[in-house]
Amino acid sequence: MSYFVDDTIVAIASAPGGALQGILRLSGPQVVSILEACFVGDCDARLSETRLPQSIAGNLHGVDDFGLIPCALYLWTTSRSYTRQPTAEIHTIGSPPMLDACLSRICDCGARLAESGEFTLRAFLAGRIDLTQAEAVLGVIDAESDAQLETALTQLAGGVATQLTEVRDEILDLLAELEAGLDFVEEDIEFISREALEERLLHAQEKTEMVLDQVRTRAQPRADYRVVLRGAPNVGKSSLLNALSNQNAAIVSNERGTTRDFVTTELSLNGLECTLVDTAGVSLGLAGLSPEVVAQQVTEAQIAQADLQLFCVDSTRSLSRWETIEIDRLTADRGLVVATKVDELSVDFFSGNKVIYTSSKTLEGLDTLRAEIATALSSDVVGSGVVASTGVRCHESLRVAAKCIARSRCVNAESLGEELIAADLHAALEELGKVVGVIYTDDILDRIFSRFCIGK
Amino acid sequence: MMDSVNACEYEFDVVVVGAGHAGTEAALAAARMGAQVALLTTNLDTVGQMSCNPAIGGVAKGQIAREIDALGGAMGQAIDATGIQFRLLNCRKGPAMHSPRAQADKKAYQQEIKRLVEEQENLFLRQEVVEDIVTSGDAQAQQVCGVQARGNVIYRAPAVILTTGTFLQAVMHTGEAKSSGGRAGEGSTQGISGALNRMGFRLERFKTGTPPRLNGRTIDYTRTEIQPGDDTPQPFSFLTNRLEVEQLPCWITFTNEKVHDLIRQNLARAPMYSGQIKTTGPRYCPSIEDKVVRFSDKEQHQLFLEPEGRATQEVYVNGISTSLPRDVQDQLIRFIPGLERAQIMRYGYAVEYDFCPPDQLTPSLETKRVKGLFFAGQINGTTGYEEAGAQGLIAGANAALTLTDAEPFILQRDQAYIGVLIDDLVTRGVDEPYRMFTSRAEYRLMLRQDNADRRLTGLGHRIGLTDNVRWQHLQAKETSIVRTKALLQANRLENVTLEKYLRRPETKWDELAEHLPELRDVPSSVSQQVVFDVKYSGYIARQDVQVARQHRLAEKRIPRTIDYDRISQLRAEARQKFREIQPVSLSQASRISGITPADIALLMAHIEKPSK
Repeated sequence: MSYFVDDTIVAIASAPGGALQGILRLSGPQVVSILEACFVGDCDARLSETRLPQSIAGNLHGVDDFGLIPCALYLWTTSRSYTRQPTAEIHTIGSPPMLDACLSRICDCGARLAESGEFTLRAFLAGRIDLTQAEAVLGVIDAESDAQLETALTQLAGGVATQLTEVRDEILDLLAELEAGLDFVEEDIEFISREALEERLLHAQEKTEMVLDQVRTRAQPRADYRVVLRGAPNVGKSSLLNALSNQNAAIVSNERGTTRDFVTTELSLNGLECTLVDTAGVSLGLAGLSPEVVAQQVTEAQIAQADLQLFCVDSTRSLSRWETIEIDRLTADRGLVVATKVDELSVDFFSGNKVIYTSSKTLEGLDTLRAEIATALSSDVVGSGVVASTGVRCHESLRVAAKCIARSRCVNAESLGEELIAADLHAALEELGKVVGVIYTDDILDRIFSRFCIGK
Repeated sequence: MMDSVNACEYEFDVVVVGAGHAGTEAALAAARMGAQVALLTTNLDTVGQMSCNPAIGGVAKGQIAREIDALGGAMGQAIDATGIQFRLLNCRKGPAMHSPRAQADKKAYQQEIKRLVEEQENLFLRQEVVEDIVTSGDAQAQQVCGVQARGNVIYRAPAVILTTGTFLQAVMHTGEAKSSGGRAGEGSTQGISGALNRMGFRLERFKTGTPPRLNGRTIDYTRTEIQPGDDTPQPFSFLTNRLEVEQLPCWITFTNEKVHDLIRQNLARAPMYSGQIKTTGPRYCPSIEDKVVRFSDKEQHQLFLEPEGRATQEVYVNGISTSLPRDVQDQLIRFIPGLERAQIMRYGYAVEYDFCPPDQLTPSLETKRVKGLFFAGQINGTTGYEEAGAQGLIAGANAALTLTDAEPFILQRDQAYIGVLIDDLVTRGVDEPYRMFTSRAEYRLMLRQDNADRRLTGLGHRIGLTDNVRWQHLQAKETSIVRTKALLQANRLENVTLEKYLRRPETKWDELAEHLPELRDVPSSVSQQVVFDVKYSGYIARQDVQVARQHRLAEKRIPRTIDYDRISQLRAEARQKFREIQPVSLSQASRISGITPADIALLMAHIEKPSK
């Protein structure tokens, strides 16, 4: 994988997290042919005949779950564009799930998702920006994209990353056996039969598709922000969650999944879509550890990618040492301290930090809390929107990987040759590698030598 | 012609040190390209010697042997002339996996190579013990000037190729017994390691081993399984039309628990386990003691009994490489079916030797440190005659090219296994003796043994490495392929063109030939190309996209003078790797381990001039 400047790339160019207007940007030699495949203008102008920069109103068609999407297309077919390549912008409504679906559609038509900094590199090569500007962007990519990928994987929920690693591992093993059969034909080792191969390929395909499904369903009803409820067990997090959502008609879903290690509720707070994450469910199920240790462990992953934490304390009890430490660690824009059960409270138990006093019973303080949440979130410029396209990236890679495995099964069924199956599996691994890490030939050789006694 | 300056000083264009598989191909290649070449060996009777198994080819190695031949090398013709058994391995798999392998008459092979070397114009073969390498310039800008041989004899040349094999500081082990030497009965080379150290090269040590050889007269073959050669043996060289040769069989037998028990009891006396040898050996060629220890649940290990020639009774026992003491070797042989009364003629041994980690080389196999100095073969941490020969050929060609300051001859990973081999060596280095496997080649569907001439002969011919005979041979074949493909496109069967019809997995050439009689006259070397091209076409088309991208990256050359410190945003790890490896192109840079796409983007931004 590298930055091939002759590929046609696409990315979401609008501000992340549900801006009013959504913008998709494309650049590369195939821009026109790709748009011809998925865009129809209101007037019948043929895109390929367009030389001058222009804007065309029309629709993107064939977008999953959405069908036709009205949009405005801005097209530069000549080197006058920012990248000096044919370039287009599609302006449409700023809904993240819809933009993701549009991205997938455009990729189906032959574009590739842009890597971080790729537009910048092209703009530099086009002489539009200077080296210092280009370096400033390119220099921080690795750190940022690692963080993004990690966030995306966590957000796509517990279990997915583990399952992906398992699939990758299974395919690597399978490939090692196939490669051993190809490279070490004279060795006295038993090679895999066609039937066994089919069984394992099918398994790998099903598993990849299952993960793909999970990513798809989890990625879709996505809120703009992620708010995590934290605190020791029984401080009243769940009641607070219910109180916040019950009063509000905007509940989207409330599920307790087997593969999820947390409960989420999606709600709208003063016009901001957000996912409220309660970590209580699982923490009660883990015995033998102190409740605080458990709470700490379970929520760590969630905290890592939360836009905001609500740290809940029971106002009828004095603070534990752990609670004091945690409150000190909260930063102003990433965390709020919420005191619960204020209806049972007789005196001020706590002072110093800014505390929002609430009661899930009397609903006291909930409006203040909502307003504080909204204020804290609006000051957040990044949001989880960055993850949206990382999600599409995972999705795209998984889809291609599943396709490659499916093709390898056809090759196997027709006995067209193990070297072709291996070629497909290599392609599948490369796609999975984009999501969970890269492999080298040596990985496969290592597996061969640890499994088989090779040595003619 | 050799120019004698005085009695003890000679001048050449290229000096090659060592006349094994790398050295002979290197000297032949440079001489074919018109350079005046001196090939120096410590022993004229071991030119082209097969130190280990008496065979050429095998999976991936067979493809390399064919590539060497397609570029005009000697290996293919030598084995065709002296092979005693020919087999096409993997022939039930797809064409990319077909791999020729031949047992050689070891002595005859060596004599054939020596004959080819002796008959080559511009090539001067001489027995000399090279003890030092002569350089000029300071540590930052060293240039090779020649070599110094024992007796204060100087061979001056602007290009020197070292192909010293396993002879640098070599130590052989058989049980507790240790002796200095790179091959049984021979000495080791001491001076060159010192010279390399002085020039600033890193040296490391590897280990390899060899099995005992038996007297065939004392083997009971009735207790073993026969392994005959192919009925229609396929030649290695594209110039050999057909092989008419009486073939000898090989034989298969197995070890058993008695053998394994004996080895376990004597492990403390095995140099690999007693601590006497500390260096790394290859995992794909383990000693029998390694096999028994690492795969203790395996009840038997397969052994091949391979005759070493027509005029000798000596038999090579493939699969039982060992450095156990002699008395243990004697005993364990007797537990093996068929070998109960076998006599060992030479004992197995392990050999430790110096090599120069190959990340110190450029892709032309010239060292980064000393201009004009090239390394090829086992000195680069590889194993195998084919791997050695391939490097020799490329080093020889590039040494000749440096004489006129011409562009180096570098094969890409999609063009040849040789390209994969050298790129792996110089870009990633080695952590065990390097052997080729087909799985190392990401474009192996293209790198077939049957199309080596179509991939490489033209490239070799362009620089004068490959002769006109091979070139004309290829031209005729290509013309015939084009004509045949046109026939397939012009004729139809069941409503589709014959080409499409041939894409069906079950379709065979004979079926087409029945339908269109003209096809019957097409020679098999041509029809084979047409069939293979068509059958793989879908996969090749997909790979072509990748290949085209890599070529575009390979065209983006990184200037030698680049200062990585000036790329201010580059990660420290990337900066260090780039400095060490000194990649020549973005494509090579992108294959260095630990390098990310963003690193490449930064590098690209620095070497490319923005358009205005």
